[in-house]
Order: sequence, then structure tokens, then C-alpha cells
Amino acid sequence: MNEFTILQILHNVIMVVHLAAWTVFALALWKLRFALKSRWADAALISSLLTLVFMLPFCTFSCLANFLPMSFVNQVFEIPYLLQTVSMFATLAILAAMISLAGLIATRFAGTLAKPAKTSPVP
Amino acid sequence: MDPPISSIDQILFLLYQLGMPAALIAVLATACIRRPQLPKLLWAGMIIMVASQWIAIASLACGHARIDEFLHACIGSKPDLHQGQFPMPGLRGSEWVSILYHQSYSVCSMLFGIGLLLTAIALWRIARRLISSRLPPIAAHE
Repeated sequence: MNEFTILQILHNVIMVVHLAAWTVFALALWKLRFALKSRWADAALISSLLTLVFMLPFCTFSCLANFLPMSFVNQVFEIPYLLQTVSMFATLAILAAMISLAGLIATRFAGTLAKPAKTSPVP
Repeated sequence: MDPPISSIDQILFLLYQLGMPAALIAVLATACIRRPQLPKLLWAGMIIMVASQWIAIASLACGHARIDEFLHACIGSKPDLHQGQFPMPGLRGSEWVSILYHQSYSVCSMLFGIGLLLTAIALWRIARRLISSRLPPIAAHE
């Protein structure tokens, strides 16, 4: 196994981990949105969905690039500003998701989130 | 010969490499100040995310002393990716160490993904707990 193969495997694993993480993040916010009814949760959900929209085609394409014809891959990568635009919007969406998460934590997470202290049963 | 770095690349660099750690620090600081009783899993996820971003910046800054190399590394175009040796003179390592060094940014990216996953799982648990605590009790006459 040469260095290039290892790098490709590492890259694909990273892409899968990111996609899985953002999917679970969006699902959790979807559920949290109904529990908290917060604008911050809405914003975080929309941002995470936008992140998925921008990341999914890019990650899928970069993972499948090894199996596609090289001429086609080069054609796609040489489209002017395609990758930069996708990266920029994904970056903006990720930033918005993190800021929304900060807002959500600051405003809506009540003190009841802490696990209740174990008390001895009343005799 | 590497392509010249455009202004869009520089904006991307500024947005991601400086904006992300700043936003994550904001998340962590907000949690520290406002809600110190958050679940441990959420803390772990947020701390891993913050640490991964700062480690990425530090490793890139250490490995690429020149700002143009630093920018190239940040935007994904690594000129010395497959050479199998350290960019610093006099330092050589095994193939695995070299890959880890060159791909420290990728490793940090994976750490960020893991941190995000932990955060998402913690949020899921919080949502489940909140929803279950609001369920109406079963009526006694049913």
C-alpha cells in the first residue's frame, strides 16, 4: 500500500465522517426544534441543511473520483470558480451553524438539562 | 509551478481558517459563561472541535513558514504532498510519520468531524430528554 492509496483512504474516511456528522447534527436539530421552539434552533437547522447541500455533491464526487474517467474528473475540476464557490458557501453555512449553536446554548438551554442529583428514596 | 493564489482563495482562507476557530471559541465561551451544567458529551464534542481547528492552524503555521505555502496548504493545494519528506531541512521520518505530518490538516479535519458527531449525539439526547419530559402523563381513567 503506497502513500497515495493511504491518503485516498484517509480522505474518503474524512468525507464519510463529515457527512455522517452533519447528517446526525441536522437530525438532532430537527428534533430539538420541536422541543425548544427557538429561532436559533431553526437557524442552526437551516445552516446545517445548507452545509449538507453544499458538501454532499463535493464529497461524493471527490470520493468517486478514483473510479471515474480522469478526463471527466479534470473537466469538472477545471470549471472556473466551481470548487471555490462551493467551498465558500459551505464555509459560510458551517460558520452560520456554529454561531447558531452558540446562540442556542446561550438562550434556550435551560438549567434542567443537568441530570438530577440522585437522592435517597423516601422511607 | 503552483497557480497564483487568487483573492477568492484568500477570502476563503480568512473565512475558514480564522472564522471557524473564532466561531467555535464563541460557542465554547458561551457555554462556559451561560450554561456550565451542559452534558459532558456536549462539552467533549465542542472541545474536540475547537482543539482540532487550533491544532490545524498551529501545524500548518509550523510546517509552512512562508505565507504563500501556508495559504496553499490551507486551500488544499499542497505542493510537497507526495514527496515523502519533511519540508523543513534536515528532518526526515518514516513514511507514516511523513503522511501524518503532511496530512495533519486532514487529521484535524477528521477530529473536527468526530467532535461534530459527538456534539450532534449530545444534542439528540437533549432533544429526546426535553421531549420526553414534556409528554403528557397517561390519564388515570384510561
